[in-house]
Amino acid sequence: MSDRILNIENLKVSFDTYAGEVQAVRGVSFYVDRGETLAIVGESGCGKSVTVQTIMKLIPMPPGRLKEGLIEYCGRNIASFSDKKMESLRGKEMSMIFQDPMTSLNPTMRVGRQILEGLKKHNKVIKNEAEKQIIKILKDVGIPNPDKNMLRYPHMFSGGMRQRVMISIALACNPKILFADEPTTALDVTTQAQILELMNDLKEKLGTSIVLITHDLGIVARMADRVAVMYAGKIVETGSTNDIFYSPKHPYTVGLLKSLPKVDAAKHKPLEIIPGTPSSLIDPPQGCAFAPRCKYSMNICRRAEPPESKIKEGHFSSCWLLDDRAPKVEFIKEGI
Amino acid sequence: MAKYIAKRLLISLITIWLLATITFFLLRTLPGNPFQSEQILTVEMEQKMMSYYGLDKPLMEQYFTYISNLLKGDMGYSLKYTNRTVNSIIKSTFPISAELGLRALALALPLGLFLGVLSAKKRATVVDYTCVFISVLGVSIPSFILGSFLQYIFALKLQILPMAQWKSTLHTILPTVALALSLLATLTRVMRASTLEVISQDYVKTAKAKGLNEFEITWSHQIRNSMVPILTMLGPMVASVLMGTFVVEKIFAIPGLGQHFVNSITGLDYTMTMGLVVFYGSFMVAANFLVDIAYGIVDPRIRINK
Repeated sequence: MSDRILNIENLKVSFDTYAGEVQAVRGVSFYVDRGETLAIVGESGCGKSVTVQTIMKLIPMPPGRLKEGLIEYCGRNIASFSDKKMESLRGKEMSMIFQDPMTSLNPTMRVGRQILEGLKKHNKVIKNEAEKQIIKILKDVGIPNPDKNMLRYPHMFSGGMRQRVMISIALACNPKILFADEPTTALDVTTQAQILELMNDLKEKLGTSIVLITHDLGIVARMADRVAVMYAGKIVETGSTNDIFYSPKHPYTVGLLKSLPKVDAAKHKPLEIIPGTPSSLIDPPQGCAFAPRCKYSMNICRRAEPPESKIKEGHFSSCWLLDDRAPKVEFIKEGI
Repeated sequence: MAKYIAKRLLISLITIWLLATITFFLLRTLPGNPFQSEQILTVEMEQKMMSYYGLDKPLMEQYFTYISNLLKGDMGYSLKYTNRTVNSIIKSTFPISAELGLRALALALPLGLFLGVLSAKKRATVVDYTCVFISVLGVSIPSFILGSFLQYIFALKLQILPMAQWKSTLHTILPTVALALSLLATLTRVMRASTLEVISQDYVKTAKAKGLNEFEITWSHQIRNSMVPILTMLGPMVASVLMGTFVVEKIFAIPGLGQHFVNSITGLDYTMTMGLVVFYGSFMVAANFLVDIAYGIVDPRIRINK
């Protein structure tokens, strides 16, 4: 069996709304190998969540629509899988952790039972053993007194504890791949660190691959093996974490890195920002979607979409600047 | 918990007392007296009647007499039904209204909740539009139209069900349906709205991500969470339905409690009106108390701490 757990090719997802067709994902391709962590970064509304939720088919269709694309899980194309077939994958082979642990647990169900549901469904756990398993799982994610806490309701836990419960639900059946949709955005910084550490530990222990969605580059640096940078429904640059942080090739990636607050910056120096707002996905621009905000944009950028250029093995970027005919631009390295 | 119940009980008693007091004095502000409408009654006779029932005494004295009797559970004699106490009238008619009400609820509640969930799950499909159509019909058709319509079809034309009266189970079918439709309509609408709200919650997505199928998600994650608004309306709904409805009981000639609510007021039957207000009020207070307890059972977040 190959080590490629997930392979996405040219994924396009749209939402039909009254205002028109919103092209949330416009041709995304990436892959995830066994035991690796891929981070998908990008600003709000760039299609990160839609991409991963489409893979697990959690997007209600309609209004959502999978226009085209290949979703290959362990060599099988699951893009056309029925709901019934997906049910046997969800929770068992692939799981998801959501952004807000305050709302992603059922408030009227004891946490133990919420964990049990998946176990019962996929592993056919019998009742006597269930309790032992739940206790073990809760212990694994660092919840104290699991035998008592499994009987409590979500509102009795803190945010960090709830996210631990979420992780335990997601990992209950040892899935091969875990989608973490901004798992720490709703948590305070110290809790964030604990949760990330827990995810890393469990990844090591279980060999789970992680697709981490975030807009926090600090988390990316800490967690990811590879990074995909998304903008307006497309991946504009992808590469190893080192490639992205130390030799970014797309102006958007550069902009993201520059807008990180720096500890050693002069006292009253304002934060760097990327001016403008993302373009509308109802009527996406003809050329490069980032062109209107890009300070390096050329005539061609507004007319034609840039092709994907290979910088080196595993590092790709879609930008006209990488074309042989384009002027050479030296991104200012300072502070990156 | 015991402390909470004791507190609620005290508040309930105060509520009922306030209700009785306000009604007592409001009733007396109505023009006329209970015996004016009787046909040929001489002024002398009328005064005799008034003094027989103690209605000629000062108002405050009457009030204290009434309240002290009420505390003993005695609601006095009806001013219109000769020699019958309000207690005995309620005792003989309430079971009939309650039975009709319970039958209607037993039909409307499960069906209404089911249609509500169904219509929310099948949003913007033919199923949904049908359910919404039924509920709009149910809300907008007055029960006297529906009642007469049912009588016309099933009793007059098809002759498979009795026209009216309250004798056998067969007799109960038409009035039950007539009463249930509007309840069903309201329940469907509320349950639909509430389920739609729950459907888009994150924890439903979590449940789906676990690999549960649509039925399991609906059954164990959605229904319970969408029950709170239903409970809220269920208290007053149950209370008012069990008390009987004037229109349905009138159309089907059912000797229930409903008619007395209207007749006692138009006839200025003070004691009867008072009795009904206190009875209905207590029932309503009790129903709402039960609902408050039920909230905690459905949603642990609003559970009362011991």
